[in-house]
Amino acid sequence: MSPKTIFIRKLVLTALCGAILNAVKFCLMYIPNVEAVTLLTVVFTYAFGLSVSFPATLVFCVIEGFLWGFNPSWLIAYFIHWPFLSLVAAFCKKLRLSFPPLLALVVAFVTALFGLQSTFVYFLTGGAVGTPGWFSSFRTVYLAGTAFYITQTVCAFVSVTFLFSPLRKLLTSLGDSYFGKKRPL
Amino acid sequence: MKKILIAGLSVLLLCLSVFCLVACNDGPAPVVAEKIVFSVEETGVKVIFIDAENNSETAYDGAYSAEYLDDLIYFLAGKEVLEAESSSSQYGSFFTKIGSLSQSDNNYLYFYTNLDEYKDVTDYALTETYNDLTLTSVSLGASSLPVKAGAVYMVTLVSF
Repeated sequence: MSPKTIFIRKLVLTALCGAILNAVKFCLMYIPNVEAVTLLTVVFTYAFGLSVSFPATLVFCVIEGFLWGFNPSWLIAYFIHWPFLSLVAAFCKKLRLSFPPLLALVVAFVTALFGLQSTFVYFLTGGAVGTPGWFSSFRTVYLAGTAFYITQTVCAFVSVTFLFSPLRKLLTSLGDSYFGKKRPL
Repeated sequence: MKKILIAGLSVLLLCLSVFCLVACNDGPAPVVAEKIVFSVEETGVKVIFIDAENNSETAYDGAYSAEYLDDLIYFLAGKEVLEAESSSSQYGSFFTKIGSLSQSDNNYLYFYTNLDEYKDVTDYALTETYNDLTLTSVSLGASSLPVKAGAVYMVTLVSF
C-alpha cells in the first residue's frame, strides 16, 4: 500500500470515527451525562493511533458546533477536553498501559476535570474571571452540576473497565485488514 | 518536528475558522411584556404581576411551602394564583409558561434574583429593577434555586 493510499484511508477513517463519536453522543443524549464518546476516543487511539483519533475528536467538536451553535461558553471546553483525552490515551498507550481498570482510572480522572474546566471556560468566556465574587459564583455553578459530573465520571470508568478490551480487539483486527501491515502511528 | 508544527497550525486554523462563526450568536435581549415578581418574606410570599405599562397588582400574599423556586411556582399554580407549564427532566424543571408569559420560537423565560450567591456574574447576565432593587439573571435553573426569606425573584421573557 503506497503512503498516499495510507493517507487517504486515514482521512476516511478519521471522518468515519468523528461521525461515530457524534452518532453515539446523539443516541445517548437523552440520558444526562451518560456517554460513550470517552470510551470510543480511547479505543480509537489504541486501535488506530493518535493520527486518527486526535483529528476525529476535532471533527466531533466541529459537528457539535453545527448541531448546537458555535457558542464559545461550552464549545471551547469541548475543543480542550476531547483532543486532550486522545492525547492522554496516546500517552497511556505509549506507556503500554492496557490493564482496563487502571486505564479507566486515568480516563475517569480526565473526565472529572471536565466539570471544572467547562465551568471555568463558561466564566472565562463570560468575562467573569477575576471580577468581584466570581469564585463564589463559580463554586455555586460547579456544585449545582456535581451529580452530573459524578455520573459522567462513573460512566467513563465503568465503560472503559468493561468495554475497552473487547472493542479494542475488534477495532484493531478491523484496522489490520483496512491498513494491511502498514498501520498509522 | 515539522509534522507536529503542521498539525498544531492545522488545529489552530480549524479553531480560528470555527470560532469565527461565534459572531453569528446574538445575546439575550429583554422582551416588553408582563413581569412576575415573587417577594419572599419570613412568613409568606407576595406575588406581584407588573404589566408592560408598569402597573402592578398583588395576586397573592400568604403562606407558602417550597424549598426551590420551581416548588414555589408549582405551589402557586396549585393555589390557582398563576398558570404554569413545564417539562421536567433529570436536569430539573424547564418552564414554558408562567402566568401570561409563554415561551415561543425565540422567546424564553428568564429568572432574576437579588441573592448575590445565585446571580450570573458573566457578560451574559441581564438586569431588571423592582422597587429600587437591582435584580440580576440567575446562574442556576429554577430547580436549583433555593427560596430564601428576604429574596426577590422575577420572571420575564427574553429573546435570543
